[in-house]
Amino acid sequence: MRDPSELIAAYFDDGLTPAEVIELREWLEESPHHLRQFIRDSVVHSRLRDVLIQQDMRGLVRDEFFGDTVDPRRIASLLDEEEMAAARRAREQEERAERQALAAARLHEQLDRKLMRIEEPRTSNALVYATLAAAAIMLVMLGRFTGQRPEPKAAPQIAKEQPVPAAPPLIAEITKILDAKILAENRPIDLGGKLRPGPLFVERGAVEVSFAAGAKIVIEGPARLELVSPERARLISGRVVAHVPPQALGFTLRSDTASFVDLGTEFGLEVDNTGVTSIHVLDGEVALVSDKKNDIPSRTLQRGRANSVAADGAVRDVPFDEGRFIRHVPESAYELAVLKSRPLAYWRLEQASAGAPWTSEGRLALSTVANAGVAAADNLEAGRTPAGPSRAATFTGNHDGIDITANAALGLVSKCTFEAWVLPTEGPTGPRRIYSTFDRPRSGIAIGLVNGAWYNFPNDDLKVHLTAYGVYDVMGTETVALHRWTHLAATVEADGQPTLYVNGALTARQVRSFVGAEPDKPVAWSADGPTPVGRTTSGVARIGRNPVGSDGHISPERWQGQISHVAVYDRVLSAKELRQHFEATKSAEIATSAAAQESN
Amino acid sequence: MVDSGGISTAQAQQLSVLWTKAQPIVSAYFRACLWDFHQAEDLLQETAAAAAGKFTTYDPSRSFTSWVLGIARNKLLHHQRTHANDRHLFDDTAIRELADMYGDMEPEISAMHQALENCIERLEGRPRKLLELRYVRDLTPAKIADATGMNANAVSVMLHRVRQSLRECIERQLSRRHDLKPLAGGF
Repeated sequence: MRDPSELIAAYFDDGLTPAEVIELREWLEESPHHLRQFIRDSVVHSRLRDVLIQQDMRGLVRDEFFGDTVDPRRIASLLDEEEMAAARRAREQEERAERQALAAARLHEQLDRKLMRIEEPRTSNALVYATLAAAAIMLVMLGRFTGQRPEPKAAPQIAKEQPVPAAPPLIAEITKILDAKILAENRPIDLGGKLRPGPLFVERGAVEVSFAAGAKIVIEGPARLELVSPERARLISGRVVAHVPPQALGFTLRSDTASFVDLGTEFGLEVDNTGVTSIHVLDGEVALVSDKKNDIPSRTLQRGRANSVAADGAVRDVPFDEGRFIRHVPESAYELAVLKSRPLAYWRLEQASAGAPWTSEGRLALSTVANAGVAAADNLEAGRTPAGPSRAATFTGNHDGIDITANAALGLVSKCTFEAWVLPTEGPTGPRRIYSTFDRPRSGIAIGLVNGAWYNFPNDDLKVHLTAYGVYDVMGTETVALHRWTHLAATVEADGQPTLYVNGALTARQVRSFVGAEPDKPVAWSADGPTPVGRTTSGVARIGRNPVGSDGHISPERWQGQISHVAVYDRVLSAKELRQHFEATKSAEIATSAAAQESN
Repeated sequence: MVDSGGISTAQAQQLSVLWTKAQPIVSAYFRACLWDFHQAEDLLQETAAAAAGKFTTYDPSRSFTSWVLGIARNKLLHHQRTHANDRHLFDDTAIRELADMYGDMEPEISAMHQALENCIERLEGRPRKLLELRYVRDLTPAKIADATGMNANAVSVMLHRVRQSLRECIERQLSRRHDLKPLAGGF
């Protein structure tokens, strides 16, 4: 049976089925304790009417509450029906008498409020109102008994709100931006800008807009919206995530074909260029109200559900995609670039400290924890030259790397991309793995660096290194410097073909393939060797060293130095995309150096 | 001055003061047993009238609230018999038990009422408007849904949530009061 508190709440809103009435009745009959709980649960419901009437007589329907979905005249006629249906003249007369007494008391109340900060329960005031209210009723009753007839007083008109024509109010503010270009009502606007109802165009970047009613939306450029009120906005195209705290419950985002009313707390909305709206509920609950009311009922969606609404109003269930949306304005342009490429998993590694788990970003939210020997590095503090991440994870000595909760999706060995920022320090000769999925001999794939001497090359410098365990090794020809930040990436095609990138540029490579190799004979390196697809794994992965391996025989091949922003994608990122990622970090430097040049 | 068949002015004043404290409890009793406000209001009026009529029989050594709840209980029992309804949650036994319980729980319920006034004051905007539509204008969730184009289920859920948060606010206020240390020398 439903929770008794829920049944009780439904009872008060007249929402119990006959079967539920019986359930609730039986529960109440079980014990006096249940009856007492019922009494407590019903206090709010029973008392609200009196308190609201006392506190604010003007809190009647106002047009802006409903915004643009309902004809205001319809509400008025609906209320008129209610008035007529509730035509209990005697009761209404008594209420008027009560209101008059209260109206007089409210003047005193307002004076009292200024004198007393209201943290203490206002015993005396409450009693005064209650006394007057009750007394008003009693006096009328007594009047009947003593043979007097109550004088019908002229009903005080409830003052209607006069619409005050004024400039459209400010309804929202731009509270966070990253690499953004924004136009509000066709004029450029920046961080801190205040917004009125009207069009909003985010040409690029990520923007957080905070509404006066409390809701926040994160907009991923490019996107077009129309801001309507502190509680409503319309998405015309692009992607938006709405975060709605309890006090802004009911915040509504709409597209051309449906409205989405937040029932607390977070959902992503997208309108694509064919006009199809998609909603993914990231947390809490959302009510979807379809505008074209042909047979399509409104529905409530919980976290983990996603629906699409076509231009004709047809609503369909679609697969939930958590990684589709950017939920917060990222800290850096690089982070934004990575998130826009929709990584399978993304570890910023800004807060790695041994023992404290965190969750990866991207489509898979994987619990991740740093082991002994791994610590957080704050590069700004240490006064290091920028041109690299300000915070990273640092790996020293015989550390145990960073453990990632196994997930089958991480077992891929083709149609994938690996990417990271690294700062290598001195270490023993040999491969040093940045990210590895070796879970048993001759399975999995790993990206890292290796010194030439390991493979008996005359040049001992560090080079990019990609290994499809048991199938091939690939090495870049370009040197990767010690003690400097370098952006590395490797892609693997569907047929196994690898490509290596250093600092956003493709790098030539050599291949050593084990295909058809004779056992115990050294294998030669060449510019082009066969690079078939490696063996997929169960999805075990580590950052900073190889996983332990099912038979314990896999050498750790530990990373020494710093690693930051490890990203894994389940598709091949183009050279252009990887270049854009790398360039995203340079934009800040370019801006400052250009300014410096101008001032010279 | 005493009217024949009525009560004296002095007694009327005394009744008025006693009724002030009792009325919220009796009202809560009716509104819990009859979720329909109008029916609850009618019975409340009838109870007030009956109490006034029988006031001369009230024994001042007894709790006035309990005495009035006795009258209220009888009104409710009579009402249930004349309004056969499969949505009645309480049989005669339960109605009697509840009347006793409301009397026993009077201090607790009064404290909750006071806390609610503070909690409601902080409520603004959309949630408050929703409560006003439901409780001041007496619109059912279905009618509110009709008027706003919202899902009726969504309206019910929102109402439940707002009442829930008011309840939590009340609990916080009440537990805080128990923690308050007595002020030295009053204030």
